[in-house]
Amino acid sequence: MLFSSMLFLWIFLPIVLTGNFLLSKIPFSSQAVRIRYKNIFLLFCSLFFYAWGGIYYLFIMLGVIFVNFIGGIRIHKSGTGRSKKRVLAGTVILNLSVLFFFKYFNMVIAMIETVMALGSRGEQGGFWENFITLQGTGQLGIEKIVLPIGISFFIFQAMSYVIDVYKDTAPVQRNLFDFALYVAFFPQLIAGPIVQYSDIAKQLLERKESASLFEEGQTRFCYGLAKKVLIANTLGGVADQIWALEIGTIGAGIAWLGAVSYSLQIYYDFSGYSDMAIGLGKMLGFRFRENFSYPYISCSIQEFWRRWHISLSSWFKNYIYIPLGGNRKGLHKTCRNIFIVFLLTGIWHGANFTFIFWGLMYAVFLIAERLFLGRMLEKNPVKLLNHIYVLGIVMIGWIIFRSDNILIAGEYIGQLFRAGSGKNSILSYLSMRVLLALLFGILGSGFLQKHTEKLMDRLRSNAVWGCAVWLWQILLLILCIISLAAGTYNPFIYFQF
Amino acid sequence: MKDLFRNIKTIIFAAILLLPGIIWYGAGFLSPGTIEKWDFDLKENRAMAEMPSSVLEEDYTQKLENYYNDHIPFRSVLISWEHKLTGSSESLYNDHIQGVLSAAIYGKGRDTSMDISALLASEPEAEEAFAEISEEEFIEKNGHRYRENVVKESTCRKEGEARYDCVDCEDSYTEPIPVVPHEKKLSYVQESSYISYGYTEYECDRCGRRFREDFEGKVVDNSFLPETIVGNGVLLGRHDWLFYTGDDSLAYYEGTNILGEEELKEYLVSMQKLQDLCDGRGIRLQFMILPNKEQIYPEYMPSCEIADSYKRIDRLVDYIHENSDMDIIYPMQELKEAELYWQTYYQYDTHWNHAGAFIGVQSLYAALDVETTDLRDVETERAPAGVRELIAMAGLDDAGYEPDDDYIISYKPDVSVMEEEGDMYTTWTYHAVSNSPNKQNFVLLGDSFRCFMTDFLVRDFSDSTIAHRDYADEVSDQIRKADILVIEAVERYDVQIVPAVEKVMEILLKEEETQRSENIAE
Repeated sequence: MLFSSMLFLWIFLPIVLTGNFLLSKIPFSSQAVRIRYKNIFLLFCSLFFYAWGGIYYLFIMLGVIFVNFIGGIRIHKSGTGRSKKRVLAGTVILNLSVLFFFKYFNMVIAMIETVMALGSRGEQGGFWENFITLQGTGQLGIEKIVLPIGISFFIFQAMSYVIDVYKDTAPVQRNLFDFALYVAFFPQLIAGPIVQYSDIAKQLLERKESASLFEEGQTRFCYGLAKKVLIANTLGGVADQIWALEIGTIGAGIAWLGAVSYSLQIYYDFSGYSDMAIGLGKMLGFRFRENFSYPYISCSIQEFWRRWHISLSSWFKNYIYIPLGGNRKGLHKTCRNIFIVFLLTGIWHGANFTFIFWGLMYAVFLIAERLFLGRMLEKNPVKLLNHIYVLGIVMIGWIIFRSDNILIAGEYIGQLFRAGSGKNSILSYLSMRVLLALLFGILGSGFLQKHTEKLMDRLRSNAVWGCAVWLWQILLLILCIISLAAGTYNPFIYFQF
Repeated sequence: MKDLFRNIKTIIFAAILLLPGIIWYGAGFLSPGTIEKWDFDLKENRAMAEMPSSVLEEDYTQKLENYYNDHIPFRSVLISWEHKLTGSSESLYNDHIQGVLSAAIYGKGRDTSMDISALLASEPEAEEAFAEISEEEFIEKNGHRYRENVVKESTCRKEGEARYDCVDCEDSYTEPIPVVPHEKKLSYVQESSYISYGYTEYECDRCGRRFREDFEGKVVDNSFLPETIVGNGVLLGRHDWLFYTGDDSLAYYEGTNILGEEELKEYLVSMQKLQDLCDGRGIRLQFMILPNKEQIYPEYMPSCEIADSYKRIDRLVDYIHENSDMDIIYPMQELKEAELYWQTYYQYDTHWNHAGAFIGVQSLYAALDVETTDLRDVETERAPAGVRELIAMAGLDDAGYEPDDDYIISYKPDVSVMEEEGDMYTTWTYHAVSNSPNKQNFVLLGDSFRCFMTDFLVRDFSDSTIAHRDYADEVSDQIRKADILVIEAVERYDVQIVPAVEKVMEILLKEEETQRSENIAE
């Protein structure tokens, strides 16, 4: 189930919020007892939410929950260093095996098939192209595995728990329901933020709901929904149309429009989803960490990664980068560690060489910034150049990320700098809706917020302003509902008769 | 105070999520009539998703969600709001922003007048026949003295008849009286504009026939307009004209799908086989390809690059004419000429309207040597078009589009249809028996364009069958008995001609086989 669907907005969400509200009102019971009931209720809702996408996937998730729950208890019980480590290694390997199987199996099969084709026919032609574009031959006759939705997120969450227990930074969880709720909690289940167990352990047992928290949550949810439905979906449509063209002939104008649209789409889609998750969390009494902090206003790539998908970066920082020594063991090892972390970041995003390239590209720039570029950027008095540098790299990164394979990405980047216009006109992709989405998208990605910070601080206590902001938020919610309802409009083309 | 405001906010938020459902299902339960008012038909032309019957069904949740999406409370209202919003914001964009952007990127566009010399060359000259009126009382001829007796007065449209009786003996002969000239009076002057030709209109005081002269082409907007496709493949044209891009229609317009020699040959060979078969049976076979709307109205099309102006169907028709004696018509010129008087295709639909269909039928009759009628001589009334499917398909607001033209054509009101099977517009096959003096059995197999011609065809043949080509089987008896067989396809479905031809051959040959086996049995 998607947050941006009518079923979620008009059925699931009202049921969850009403249920949670009623459970807060159980008479003659302590706060702790109410939380216990609420946790069970929310777990049930979350499992239903996940099962909606396919009951089989639910069993996979339940398996992951169970393995990590037992793993946590076993780690806690095995006092000595060695067996503790063994149990941790076992649990982590199990987690990674599941992740690998569902996420990377198809990729490996395609690679094997390409190599086999080379061996059997002895043909060299097109080998690398086939290899890099992962076009399997189907020779092995293995059916493609469908990726369970959100698996990368919930496995990383589960792993964070066992590692936290191993490091004694979080208490062991002895209640299976509470642990299951931590992994499967529907707001962050599908697209993050990746909650680390230490951040939420306490909230599972005691959390305080309040009207003001609920209000914050509802505001956040409305903004997130609007980011997703009104901006990301609109610009996503443009990006899809452009990427569906024959890339070699699109011309610079359309190539830039596609790149800007996709860059905004991915930011608004992902951060909108995180906003909705944080908002839903707040409405239910949970506080999640921020996942985005206006990444497009960064002045360096390092800053970008402190602002983009913060929960994933922190996960890699806490569980890979720092254990590897971080930046405390000399420049050489720091660069190695950055390389490893961003290689893994790339791999985590998907089973395609494009993601690996994308991750490695960032590794190169981050190492360069650590070596010399960072100082240059810091001393540069014209900060506009820093922004151009960051946005340029990020946009090229998104082109690689969006393209089906690395060859198409190369072709697309070539088009950005091609002289003359292509076959199609850029105006074909523009409309009022797209222009508005671009305008709000660009202004709202941090630039406006950065420059109106002081004004906003002053206005915050103004009642009229507060009322206007609230009306704006309600208007956005209604526009989203109208837009989602219109998305179900699907007239049948009858001209065939 | 702050708490109160906070509570109000929360209540309104909850109301937006909960109230629509409560009102909808509540009203549905208490008075089902109320929700019918809100649940108006959006003309989606499809069966709405049904509630899956069992939880064990495959993709149960997906089906359930589809069902819910098709039955959201206030769905029709919400969708029509969205269409209104999109319609008004996009027309704001088209009217005020797109031009500025286009001028900034491509420079300013020019308005020019359309060259219509090609259309006027074949425009029949206004009839200037003058009757010679004899001043003499008697006509002396071959030794007789004849006196003229008018049997039937001539009119502006029809010749009269005069009988000449000899005043001395019983000899007599008849002669037609030539038509009298129209009494043209200036009725109207139309300036040329983006959507209309310029002309001066005269009307005959006597018969009411309209004449247009001094034509001037439409003003053509040459500004750059991109090919913007919205909704389900709807192309936004100029001046609110909408076009359909499905079935690769644009390739026909842009000339990018020209048939190769081999493909042309395939058409020819297949069509020739049927022609031979029909010749053997005494069936008059006629092929008819109808132009796509884009070909007739290029002035409303966005800026498309025409790769080759000698396009696919022109080439196909020429090829068939050059390499065979088969008859195939593609009434492009006729429909374009008719544009001087009538709009021939719907503005918001891909089909031709009834005026277009009438012109098409006359082209067919000209090819079949059946008497033709000038639409100007038929009582015609302009009427708003009911067909506006492309607006809905584009997801635009219907209210934002002006009424479109269609015509109520009272063609041969004296001929009546006596028997009818099926419906002209909604059933795949239609059969009618009329009291037309033409006793030939007429069969037309075609696509949706056929429906608009039916009402004219049934008045010119005493037995007519009009069917969709995919349902040829259902009219196989009529095909076998046909005197005239027409195979029609709109341009974008030209590929359907060969399968239709093969189907008809199969039907005709099957009859032969049945007869042979019956003979053997006897």
